[in-house]
Amino acid sequence: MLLHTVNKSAFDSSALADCLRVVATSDAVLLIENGVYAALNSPQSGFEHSESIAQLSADGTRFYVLQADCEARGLDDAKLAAPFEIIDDAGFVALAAAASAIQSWY
Amino acid sequence: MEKALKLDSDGHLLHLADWTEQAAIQLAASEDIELSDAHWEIIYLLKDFHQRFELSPPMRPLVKYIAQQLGKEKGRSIYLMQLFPPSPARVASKVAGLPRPENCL
Amino acid sequence: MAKPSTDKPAQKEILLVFRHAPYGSALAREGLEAVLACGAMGAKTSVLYINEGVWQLLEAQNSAAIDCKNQAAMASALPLYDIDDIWVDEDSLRQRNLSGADINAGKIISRSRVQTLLASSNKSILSF
Repeated sequence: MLLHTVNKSAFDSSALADCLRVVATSDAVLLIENGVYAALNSPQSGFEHSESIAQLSADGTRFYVLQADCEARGLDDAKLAAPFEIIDDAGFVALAAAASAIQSWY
Repeated sequence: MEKALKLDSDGHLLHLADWTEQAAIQLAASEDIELSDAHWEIIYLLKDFHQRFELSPPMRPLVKYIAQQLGKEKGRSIYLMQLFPPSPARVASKVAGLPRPENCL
Repeated sequence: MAKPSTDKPAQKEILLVFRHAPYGSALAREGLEAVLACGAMGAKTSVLYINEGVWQLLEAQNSAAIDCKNQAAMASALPLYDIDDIWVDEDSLRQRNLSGADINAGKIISRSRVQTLLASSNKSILSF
């Protein structure tokens, strides 16, 4: 399992798109820093990556957002798109430890 | 006996958490000011400003905030000048344990 | 409009354009410092939040979680610095699945009004 971290906003960087293009169904994707804004968007909002995230999620890829970064930016948990699970710093460490390698998209 | 306060190069408290009323009395004494109730009212309002906005206000916003909270009589530069001469925004923020206001003229 | 100034020639207005998210780079913070300085010195100042900048307006930011100053708290002091013209680009909100209910300040304006705002003369634009 590879852990992919994305730390740039999908609205002004290709980091998330670049990640989604190559991520495997056995991998995990963690949004951190400004990357977390992508989790606020659902298929209903017309967000361009919603479909591929939903498809990957259905096929097994796991999606996470880092709690501290969501909290800092005022993102409401209740509004996060369904595939995203919130994890804290300890969860991040656990994911990193379980991963064979970490790929940072920035 | 007075406790030595940890200060920055401007004489402001290094750590807001070190602030006590006793510290305020010491800081005021360093500006030759003896604190009255009128001073404490402004000091606590400043601390409230800093907690709400995470800023040390320069003169104009300070005056406006005081006018909103305590009324027009007190929200005037001349009133603050009497309490915290010679530069009310700087002196009052110092006594309240806040960093020196930026953009303070 | 403002009454004619008697003490000095017409002062240039300043428009600050906030285009970046509040954390992750120093730009938003620098912009806030700049706008507060403009206000403190009594310059006629307005602010436009556009593109990624609209994220700065989300309520309930708790930046202690990442050891940063809370920029939403700082921005809420703008009216005390006599900065009352705060504009927000409607398209930027919509692209990010945000609405007026999600933001804590500002008047939402259409793209054509943004263009008018940028184009009006006798104005300096500072972009952050």
